Amino acid sequence: MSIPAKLTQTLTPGEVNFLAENEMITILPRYSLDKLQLIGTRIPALRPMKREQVPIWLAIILKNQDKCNIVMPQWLTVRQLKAFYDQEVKNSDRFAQLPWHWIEISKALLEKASDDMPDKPHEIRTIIQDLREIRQLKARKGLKELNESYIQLDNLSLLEINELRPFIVKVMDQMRKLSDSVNSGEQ
Amino acid sequence: MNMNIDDILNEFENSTSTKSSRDLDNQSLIRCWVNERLTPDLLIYEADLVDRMMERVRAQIEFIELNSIELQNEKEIKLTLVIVESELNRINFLLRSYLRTRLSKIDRFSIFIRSEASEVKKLSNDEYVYMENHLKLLLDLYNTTFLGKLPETLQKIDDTSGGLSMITRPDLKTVVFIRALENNDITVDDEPVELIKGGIYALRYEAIKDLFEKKAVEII
Amino acid sequence: MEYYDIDDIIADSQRLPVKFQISVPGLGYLEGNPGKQVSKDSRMELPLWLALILAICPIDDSEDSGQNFVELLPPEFLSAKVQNAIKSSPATIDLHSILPHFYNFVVKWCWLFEDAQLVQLCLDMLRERAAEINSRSSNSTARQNLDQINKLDEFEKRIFKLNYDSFKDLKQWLAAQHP
Repeated sequence: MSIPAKLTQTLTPGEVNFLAENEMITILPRYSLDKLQLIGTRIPALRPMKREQVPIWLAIILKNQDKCNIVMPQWLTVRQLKAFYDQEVKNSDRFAQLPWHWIEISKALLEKASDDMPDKPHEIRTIIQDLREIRQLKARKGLKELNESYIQLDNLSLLEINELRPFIVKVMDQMRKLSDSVNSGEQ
Repeated sequence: MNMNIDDILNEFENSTSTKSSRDLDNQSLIRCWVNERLTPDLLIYEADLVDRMMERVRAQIEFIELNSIELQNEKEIKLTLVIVESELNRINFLLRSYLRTRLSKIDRFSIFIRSEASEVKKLSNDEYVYMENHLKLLLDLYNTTFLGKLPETLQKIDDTSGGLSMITRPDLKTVVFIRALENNDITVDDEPVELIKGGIYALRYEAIKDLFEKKAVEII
Repeated sequence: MEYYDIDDIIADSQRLPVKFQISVPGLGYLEGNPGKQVSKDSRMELPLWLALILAICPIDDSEDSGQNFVELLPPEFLSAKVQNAIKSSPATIDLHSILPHFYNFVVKWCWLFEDAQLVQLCLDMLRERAAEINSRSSNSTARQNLDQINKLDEFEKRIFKLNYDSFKDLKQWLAAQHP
């Protein structure tokens, strides 16, 4: 088998994370590095204390070697996350508009750059966990609406979609087969 | 072999590719990989894109070989090499997974692909040769182990008579997840469905295949 | 429908009650009388794949008599009693004991009999049970749900495992530290 059967038509959490690591983030270099031509992008020259945007995977390498500080994204603060949580509580029928990769990015930054966080990391971790749980509950409630034609999942993030993907695909496919068996009369 | 790292960096800069074309190619490759992974059918092989990426991979490997021997004691070069190697690994992963995903589809659907000229066109030359050889090996195996011992009328593996075709083909009705990149009205089961820009939907592939090809929706 | 789909093949072997419309010499082995004939009006159970062919093939191609070899009798697992039981407690009913391949069977059955009501019943039941299966399979103490799993039809068991694995993969990834 060229790829394992369970990987057809889905992604692993690690692969979703791979996509997240290509997102850009702002760093504050503590070190000079000449500009660098890579296969898929060009890294600008880094000068100490001069803000630059780089892909997250690079920010993490630099941070691991203590060569930069990472500027936390706007949304990754206790204040902003609490506001998201309040929205989740208030609107039971829709999801708050969190970033497409909020779980992966917050995990990486909590692990690698918690000292760059203006807020207390354990508070951030707690709200992230709360957000994850309330959204999981909501998504599960939404599954009662499954049908054979379509469902809408606005503002669910890729990792959250990916977790539900195998299940939703199989159930909707089976519903479609059931309804086709009387509607079209064809195989 | 006396080039130093600045020469190499300059050479990279002066080569024909600009920043934007490298970034665009990288983004395209990521897209192609995700698309190939999440769609039920085989997509068109991105020959030019893969060739360009492979060429840059080769150049980057040369760069690493040159510098890791001569300059490994310099600290700055060391960090540069860590970065360059990490990125090389990421690109290699993408290319490999993209090609392997295609092979898995080619294995599953080879009899179907061979029966349709429009499907064969989606393959690279290498993939075509692989498909033919792989299928031949499989058929030889089937024939010697069991098919050859059955009555001749039962030896087919591509029989389409009798209600149920033996040929495995992609299930275009299976559900995929998409993000609408623009507003569009589609029909699912004779019911109108309004796709709103930015909205995320789970629906059958068949219903959005045209829009996907026109890049009006993206597979997620 | 895929040729090599094992669940589909198993659903095809589900036995169904039929009644022979005519006497056929030599077919007695179907009801345990080898060498004898099977007589008109004798009832027996045949696998779905055979029962369907005999039920739709006309005896005589030339005349449009409308007479086929066998008549399909309504199976117990589609009786009004069973359907009412499903309707009243879709989430908790022991579907596996009714029929291990319930949904796949209904799909095949309805190609022939176009029973829209039955399909609607199945859709409603699946929607209800799917939400329940999702919630239980996302529970890490899934072993406690063994009782519940035994009541699932084979398709439902498959989605239970799929969701359990997907949930577990993510949980493990989230718990791991990355270099």
